[in-house]
Amino acid sequence: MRKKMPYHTKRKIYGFLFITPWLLGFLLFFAVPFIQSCLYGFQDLTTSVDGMVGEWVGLKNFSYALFRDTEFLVQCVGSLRDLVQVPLILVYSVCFALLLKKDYPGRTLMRAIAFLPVIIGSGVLMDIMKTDVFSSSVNGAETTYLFSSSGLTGFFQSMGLPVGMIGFINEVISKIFDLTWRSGVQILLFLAGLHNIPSYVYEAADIEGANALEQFFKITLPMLTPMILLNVVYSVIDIFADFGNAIIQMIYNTAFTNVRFGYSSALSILYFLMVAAVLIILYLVMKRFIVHPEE
Amino acid sequence: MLKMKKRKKKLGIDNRRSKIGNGLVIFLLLLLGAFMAFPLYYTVIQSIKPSEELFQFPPRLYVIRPTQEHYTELFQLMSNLWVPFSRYLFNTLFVSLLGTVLHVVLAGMAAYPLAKHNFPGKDALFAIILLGLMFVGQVTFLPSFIIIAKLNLLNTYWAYILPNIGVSLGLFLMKQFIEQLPDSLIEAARIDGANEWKIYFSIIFPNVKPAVLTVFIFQFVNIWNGLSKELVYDEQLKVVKVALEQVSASNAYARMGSGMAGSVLLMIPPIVVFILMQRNVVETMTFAGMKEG
Repeated sequence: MRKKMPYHTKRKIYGFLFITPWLLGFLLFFAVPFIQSCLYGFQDLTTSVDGMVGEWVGLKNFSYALFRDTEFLVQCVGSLRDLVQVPLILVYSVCFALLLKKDYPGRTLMRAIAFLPVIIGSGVLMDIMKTDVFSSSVNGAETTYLFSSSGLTGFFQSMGLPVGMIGFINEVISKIFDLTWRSGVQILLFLAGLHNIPSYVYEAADIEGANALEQFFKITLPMLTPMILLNVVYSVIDIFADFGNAIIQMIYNTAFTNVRFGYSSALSILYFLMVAAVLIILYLVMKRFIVHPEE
Repeated sequence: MLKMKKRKKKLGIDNRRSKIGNGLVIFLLLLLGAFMAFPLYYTVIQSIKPSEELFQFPPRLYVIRPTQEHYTELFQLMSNLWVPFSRYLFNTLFVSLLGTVLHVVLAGMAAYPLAKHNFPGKDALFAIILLGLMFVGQVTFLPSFIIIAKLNLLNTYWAYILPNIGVSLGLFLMKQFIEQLPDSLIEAARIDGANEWKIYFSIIFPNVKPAVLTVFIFQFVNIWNGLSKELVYDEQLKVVKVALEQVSASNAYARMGSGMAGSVLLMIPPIVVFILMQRNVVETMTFAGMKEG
């Protein structure tokens, strides 16, 4: 709107030119496969000498998944239970970000460590942790019982603690572990949000005599609400799209172990719709609490 | 007056408390940091355990008699391979770096008009791109495999590189950052007669350097860790990760130690890239929430 028309059209052309190379890659390796996989959902696929042959079966795959498959819906509900982690992740990462914001020796190092899960979390390391340390209990997305097989249990036993207590300690430790490894990105986003709050707000509050607790609930928390929304969305996607997730495993196995590509695609579409519904509900609920400081 | 006095008193307490508080903060951070650093520690420990300790059950969290035998074994295995190890290393670095650079430049180019231009269908396009954020690669793996096959790209470097260019995450982050650049900067460049190319490469790109480096790290780590073995079957073109898997998988138990050693070596490049760019990443993340102003 700021420029004269001819220049404006030129800019539009440039805009499209700039987007095109990336978009080509996106279309070719995400959009087309995605649509293809949606179409597979309506087909029965069999492999033959000519490659894959699809036969249109309408909604059969979907109705089978919803009404006949004993496992799928159970798993879906089970994965909804993982949402409990979201508030835990949020509280934990707000606290961690608050700690990281303070000035003390070694702050940079701590920030680096906080970022560690992002760097190596999804990689080789997690493969090892899953197949080795967690091997006694890798079944699906259940939290892995890190220390239950390790020397720590023996240590507690030799201290004469009752078995129930040891189990409890193990559980707590492995949950904390899970939490720390899921919160890398969230911590950094919150840190960014905290730095975004202008310091004069706190100074004013100081002069007015507000204590630290009041400042947190009346300034920090409201100012962080946009970041909270962002982190909720990120965490939900992160949890649901985790490859260790039982349902993702099920979809993957249906396709590559049981060789039922059509059915697997139908499952992933249904699952995606469920995740989208969760996100929309969360968004609509949270939108009312977002504070826009400028207004 | 009373308030001022109270305030002063409180300041005093605050100062005193902050020393204890600092100690507490550092203690807490160390504790949580230990959790985060633990898997790293564990892998390294496992890789320097001698075989008789490695197979102990339950596994120990410390090592009694450290050894580098697994590393020497690994290097021996690697040097006996038909294809020299340096070739695998070159393949991996080439693919990761090229894939990363292409992604960063092209995603930035796409992000610039999305952030700063107005054109029909912009919002719809962005919504579709966001959709891409929500998907795990595994769901679309089969169709994209077929596409790669149809394009005759199987068994080439491009099978690794091309699918990694159109990733949503980089574009999304870059757009958020470019949006925060003041319009006046671009306007000024335009008045001085710069065309859009020039604006992008000499104004936008340098000014979002932290974002560029962040995306660089994300993408490098993703490609490095995510190269799948299905796309390339020519031994000459395989990447280190696949080669290591082959070596340790061919005799999983006897070579568990060398497999661990390999994993440790594989973690080094992402960590090095991260350390080199870490300052900028933290800055970027700090910058992420900033509004124009």
